Amino acid sequence: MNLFSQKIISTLLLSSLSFSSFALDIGKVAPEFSIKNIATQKLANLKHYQGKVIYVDFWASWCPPCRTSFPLLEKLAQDHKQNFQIIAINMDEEIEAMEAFLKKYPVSFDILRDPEGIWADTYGVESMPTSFIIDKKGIVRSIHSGFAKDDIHDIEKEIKHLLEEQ
Amino acid sequence: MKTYSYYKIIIIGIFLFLSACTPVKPWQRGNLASPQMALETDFQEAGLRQHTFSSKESATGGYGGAGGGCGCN
Repeated sequence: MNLFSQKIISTLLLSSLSFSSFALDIGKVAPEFSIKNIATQKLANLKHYQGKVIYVDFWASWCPPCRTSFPLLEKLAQDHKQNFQIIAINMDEEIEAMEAFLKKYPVSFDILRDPEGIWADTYGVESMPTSFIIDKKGIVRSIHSGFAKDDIHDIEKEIKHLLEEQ
Repeated sequence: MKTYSYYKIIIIGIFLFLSACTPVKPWQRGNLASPQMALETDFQEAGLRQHTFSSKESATGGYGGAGGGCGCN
């Protein structure tokens, strides 16, 4: 193999190397975000919700499991109004798609919007939907990828457990 | 000799641009999730056909999953 071929092969190998992005792990402090709240049109920070158990959900209107999750999450929010907050971060490229979805599946919890996926990248979202359960101290306690109807029972159990913690 | 090294640079450059594999982020899969991107248009009919096929051929699979390529669940 001559030097030229070696150069080409090594260049190809180097260019094919993929660098994985930072993914948030359980037990780590949830990264502070600053995302526009759809209802108030103001920037919402994680700090605003400090002291509460937080369910951060990254979702999009085109994602079928999100259609399953929204009515169930709304019920969860209604059942646990004390010290619990759901924050749903929408990832739709077009705001109209999100609006149509919310008309069909109305919810009372906070909807934030991150169409460029800046915060989804920071949180290391790998599938849609992905949710992060954050305790009162701001620590990520569990990460859920995807959503099936029965998942809500485990999620509720986890939330109840975290609400009991001081 | 100089022309030869220019060729080398150009060829290496072309190879670099050949890498077409760009990772699609999960939130960028909206178009892939649309119904027209699905491998099967009628899931019930496809299910029935697969059932008949697996009974006849003792083999199944290889048809892709339901829906488009959004990777949801």
